[in-house]
Amino acid sequence: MSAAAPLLRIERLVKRYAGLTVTDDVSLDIVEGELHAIIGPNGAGKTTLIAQLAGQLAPDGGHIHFAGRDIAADSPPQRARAGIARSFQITSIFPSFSAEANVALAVQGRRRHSFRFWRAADRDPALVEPARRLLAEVGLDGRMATLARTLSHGEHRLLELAIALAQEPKLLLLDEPMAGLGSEESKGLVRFLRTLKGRYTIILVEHDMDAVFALADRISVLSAGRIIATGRPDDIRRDPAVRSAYLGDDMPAVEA
Amino acid sequence: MVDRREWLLIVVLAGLALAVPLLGDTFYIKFATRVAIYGMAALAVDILLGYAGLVSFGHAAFYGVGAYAAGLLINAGVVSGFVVLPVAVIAAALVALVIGALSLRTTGLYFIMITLAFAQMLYYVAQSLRAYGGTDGFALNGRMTLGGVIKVTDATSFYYLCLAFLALVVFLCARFLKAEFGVVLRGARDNAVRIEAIGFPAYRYRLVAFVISGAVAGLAGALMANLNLYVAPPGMLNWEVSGELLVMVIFGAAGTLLGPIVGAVVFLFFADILSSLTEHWMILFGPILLLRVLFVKDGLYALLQKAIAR
Amino acid sequence: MTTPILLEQGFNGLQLGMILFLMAVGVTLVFGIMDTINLSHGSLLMFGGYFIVGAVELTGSYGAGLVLALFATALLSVIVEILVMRPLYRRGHLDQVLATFGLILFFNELAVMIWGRAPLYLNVPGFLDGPIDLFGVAYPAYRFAITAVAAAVGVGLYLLIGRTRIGMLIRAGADKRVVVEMMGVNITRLYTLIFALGGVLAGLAGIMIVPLVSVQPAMGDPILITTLVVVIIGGIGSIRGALVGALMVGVLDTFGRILFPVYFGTGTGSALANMTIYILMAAVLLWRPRGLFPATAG
Repeated sequence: MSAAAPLLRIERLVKRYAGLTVTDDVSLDIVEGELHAIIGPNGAGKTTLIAQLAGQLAPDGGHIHFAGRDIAADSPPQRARAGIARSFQITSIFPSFSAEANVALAVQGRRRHSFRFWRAADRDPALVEPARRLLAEVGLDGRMATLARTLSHGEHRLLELAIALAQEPKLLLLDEPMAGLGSEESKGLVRFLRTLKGRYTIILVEHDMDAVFALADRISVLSAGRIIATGRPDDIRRDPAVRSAYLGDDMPAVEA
Repeated sequence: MVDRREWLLIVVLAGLALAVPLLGDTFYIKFATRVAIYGMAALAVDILLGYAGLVSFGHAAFYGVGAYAAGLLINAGVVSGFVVLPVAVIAAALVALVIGALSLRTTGLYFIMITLAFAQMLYYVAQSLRAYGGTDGFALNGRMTLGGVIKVTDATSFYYLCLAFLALVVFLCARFLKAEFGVVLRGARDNAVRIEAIGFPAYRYRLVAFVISGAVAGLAGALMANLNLYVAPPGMLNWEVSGELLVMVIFGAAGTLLGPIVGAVVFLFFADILSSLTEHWMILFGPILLLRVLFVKDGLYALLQKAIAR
Repeated sequence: MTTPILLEQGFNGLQLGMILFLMAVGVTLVFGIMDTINLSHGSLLMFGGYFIVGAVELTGSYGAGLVLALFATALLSVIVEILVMRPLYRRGHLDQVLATFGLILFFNELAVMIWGRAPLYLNVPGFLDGPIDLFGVAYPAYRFAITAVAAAVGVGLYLLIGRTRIGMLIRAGADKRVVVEMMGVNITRLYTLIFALGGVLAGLAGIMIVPLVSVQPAMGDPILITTLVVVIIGGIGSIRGALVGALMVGVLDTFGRILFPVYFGTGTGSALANMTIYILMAAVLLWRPRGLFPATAG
């Protein structure tokens, strides 16, 4: 791996909820351009970690450095501007907008401000064109004018992703993008995520192990709030601590 | 946003509005003027309710401030409408800025209660101003003038002036609600978490919407002061007025621009007709409102929209 | 400002605070547990006032009248809960605001139709007429009794919510409706109980203040708005917050009305006096947007 400074440095992060330590002294470096998966049993604290990276939750201790800056005090809008985009495990879109308007809104978010009161937003090609391109890229080009709340679950997950991509982030936080997808849809999404590799730095939280092992450059395993292993996929597969944390359930078999 | 068939509906409604003076009776013209002014105030409430997703139970504050500002200026000798109206609007906007800055730090029930509380505070303050009549308020020395170019002294001219302002407000609101600002506002209503995640600090946009809404309500108040040639806390600053504006929005259809105006027609119609039947018309109105809330899903304008879509 | 006057005003502030506390309990419990706003809570205060006047006239005795009036208020609260509040629990806040607003309009007009627009009066019950000595100040026994009764209610609530099974259910209901239901408790009846409890306390407040301010249509509505200020300051869902908020509002309002006109003259002074509690509310909001003791976390 290169010796350049990491894009994201998580340093001894701590988060406590009502007596429980949900994030327990987590340290991790994310290298620019890598796709880093975070896996772990349910309740390990994966979504809490993402929420702290995204600025939704304030950590109780530790530091988060992004592109050399300590972003601990940054609000979610400030983190978006700094180049961090997030997709949500439970679909979080704008239901009363069309699919196209959903993505256009995210494109609009890149502008310095939106205090413009005269020109119709849905007629602005600088917003609409990129939105259409992105929707086509994720495979929603037939559904652009459809009201977001009427889309299917699979389409929601694609829209969810398109909104995050529209932010043109440096760092993508993907929180279980395959949640609730059937096997064909999952495979399609994996194919698409593969096209993102190298173009973005990605932190991928996922339960779908086939996807994780197909996509990840490195994997970190979170268990009870602590990282118990970090390394390349093959090393993680073989790690006994990881196997015991998962009780052998989800891990694909070790290759001979 | 507005398709051809809805344009037809709008044209018909506009035509009816313009034709009112043909009825000849000043009573109807004054009634229609009240409708136009309340419609504007209800529209102000709907900007927040239907588009920003904020329930303000305190718009009487901005309406009343606009009215008082107009009354005080006119009685102080400043009768030019070109000064009175902008000052009233700015005064209301400033009050909205202060109240909004505080209230928007909260959400849900807190927000509703706080807007109600601040408006009530202004009611008590106005009541305590002995110099301006206290609870009884004061009469205006006369109506504002518009440089002699536009005549406003008779009922019909003033009605058309109010109608013109209403049309202007509707037009401007239609524009900014479709513009980048409006899109963010509606996005914040749809999903407060995601709007921040994609880079928008929702508080700022809501505050600007709150100020715009207050300014429109202030304009309505200033026009009403000119219509009645009277300003007093009860009827302008009391909390029931805030409630009535919300009722107008709901009766008409929230989330539309013309809905609140239609709602104002319905509400004032009810009030006038019912009150001519019995002094105790409120005993009918209360349950009507309750039944509307519990059992009827759409406001009247929404029903009209659905009817013409077939 | 002499000490006896300050003391007397202090007692008055305390008394006002305790009345607001009685009102605030119902509001904050219904907010905190059912996430519902009931603007017509002030109407229950008003009816409490009308009921005591009518009941005393009917029975000729304050004691019997008191019992009758409390019972009538409880009955009215239950009826309102079943007919109006139940469909509203599931609805959004806007619907709740509008529906209960309609209820206020109905109730106020009903009061006018039954009792007329003019205020009705009630004498202080005989055994409480006259002053008592309170720290050297001759203070009306009746006002002291109001404060004492409300304080006793406060203690009773503390015991009820802290020490009984019902109290535990009330506390649990705020957080975990599902858990309460799984325990086999009928949540519908629990809500009715909570609402009726708040309603009776509002009625009690109305009953107690009639000899001081008389009773007239719509009298409860401004008091309800002040109660909202109390709940915002104290924090939604918290009885402790309701007490602290009520006392702060009661004392500050009373002293504000006395002191501001002294220092700022009758014009500015009385305007400022009216703003006191709202400025307090604004200050609390800046520091703690969810009130001083909000019941639910985060």
